[in-house]
Amino acid sequence: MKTHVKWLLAAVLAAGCGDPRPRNIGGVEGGPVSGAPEASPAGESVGVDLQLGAVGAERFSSLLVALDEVRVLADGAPVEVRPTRDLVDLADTARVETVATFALPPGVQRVEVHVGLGAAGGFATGKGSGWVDTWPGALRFEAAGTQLLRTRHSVVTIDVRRSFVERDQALVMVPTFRVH
Amino acid sequence: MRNRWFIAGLVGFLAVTSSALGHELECEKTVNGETLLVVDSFPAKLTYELVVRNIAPDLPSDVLGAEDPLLESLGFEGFDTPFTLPVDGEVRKTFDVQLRDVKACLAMAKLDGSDDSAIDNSFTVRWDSGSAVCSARVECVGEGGGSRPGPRMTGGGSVFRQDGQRITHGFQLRCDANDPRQSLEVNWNGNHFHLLDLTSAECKDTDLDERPPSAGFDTFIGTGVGKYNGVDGATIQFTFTDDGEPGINDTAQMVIHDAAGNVVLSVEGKLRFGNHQAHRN
Repeated sequence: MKTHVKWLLAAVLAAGCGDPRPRNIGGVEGGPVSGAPEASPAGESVGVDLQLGAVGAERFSSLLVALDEVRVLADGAPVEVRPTRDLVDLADTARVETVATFALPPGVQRVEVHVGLGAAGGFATGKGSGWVDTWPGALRFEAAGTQLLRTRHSVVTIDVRRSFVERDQALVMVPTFRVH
Repeated sequence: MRNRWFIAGLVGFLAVTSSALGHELECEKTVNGETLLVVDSFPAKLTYELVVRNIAPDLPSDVLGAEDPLLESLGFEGFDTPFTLPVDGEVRKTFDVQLRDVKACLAMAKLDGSDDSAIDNSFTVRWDSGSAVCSARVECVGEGGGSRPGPRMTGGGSVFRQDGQRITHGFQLRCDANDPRQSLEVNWNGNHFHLLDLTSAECKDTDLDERPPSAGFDTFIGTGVGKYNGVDGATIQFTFTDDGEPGINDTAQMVIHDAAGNVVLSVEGKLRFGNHQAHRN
């Protein structure tokens, strides 16, 4: 019986600590987190994937947003960031792109993420196409270090319906997003 | 029997844990009912509205934090967190800001940490496994404001080389090269150019027809210096044209040299997925 209890405990912990959301990373359902280093021994930094996705982009066949820079502070100190993409198509809502990876030191409490958006972007719908005005824009958020160390990824989901406003034949981006 | 109770307890714990993981919130932020507001007459009243909403199906959600630092610095009482929102529950608060003149608008714009004429501030809501960030922007227009008169061209999109490689660009460029409010970005094949300084600008009226709107010019010819893949010393020569709407006849021509003088990009073509727009002011 003791063995059964151990299995039950393991199942409970797995259910309690796991990420309940389905993940579609790099177009592969439930696939491995691309770019993140393997599990690190205790005391070493942990690789975290920063991922970007979108919801509410049904009317777009293309919605390109350029990423200018990614900065990450761990308890106020900058950490090394490796960008992996500089353009993301938010129209492809089935996809979550890894846009950067960064290494977090163990025990970090507060993580600040700044994703600067470049001016190069564009959109296309069934009615036409145009420029995406992201300037001067950025996605800024804070995350709990304990959670990032556990999940090894941070997924930013942009609400396209609320984040893009039509003006002068262009779409102006005023970001609204959620982070998990 | 004792083991059964233990197992029942574990199942109960699992149910509670699953419930905690169900927390999910969204936020909304508007100013005078919009997410992007241009203020061009003063005095002006800004009414910010902030909403926190529980979107977890069939479960209450705990709101651990709900902060808008800029509004709080102006006296907004904020939200008294933590609190719990029931299923389909929401809470909303409003806060009014009076802007006496454009100077007051610009002073508020500086509070967001960026040196421009837009008030960009965000409202962040936190729960146990995530956060939501909502933004609203107010653009201050008037003497000294971000849209002070002067011809300019904005836009961007993609052009393709013959080998199929896609080059995207985006810009806001003033015809006065001395105006510091210039931006130009180019991305191609993993490479990136970022304009730091516009060194020359010429806005010409050619046989093209930029209308609508009528801007008095249709072609922007410029040179500049910037960063190529993060390294200073790169240069760009470019010509952007606006040949009316919807932008399918607009063109972009760009030549970029790296700091060593090597041509790293040379492209010319009609836009796809984009638009250039000339503005009189």
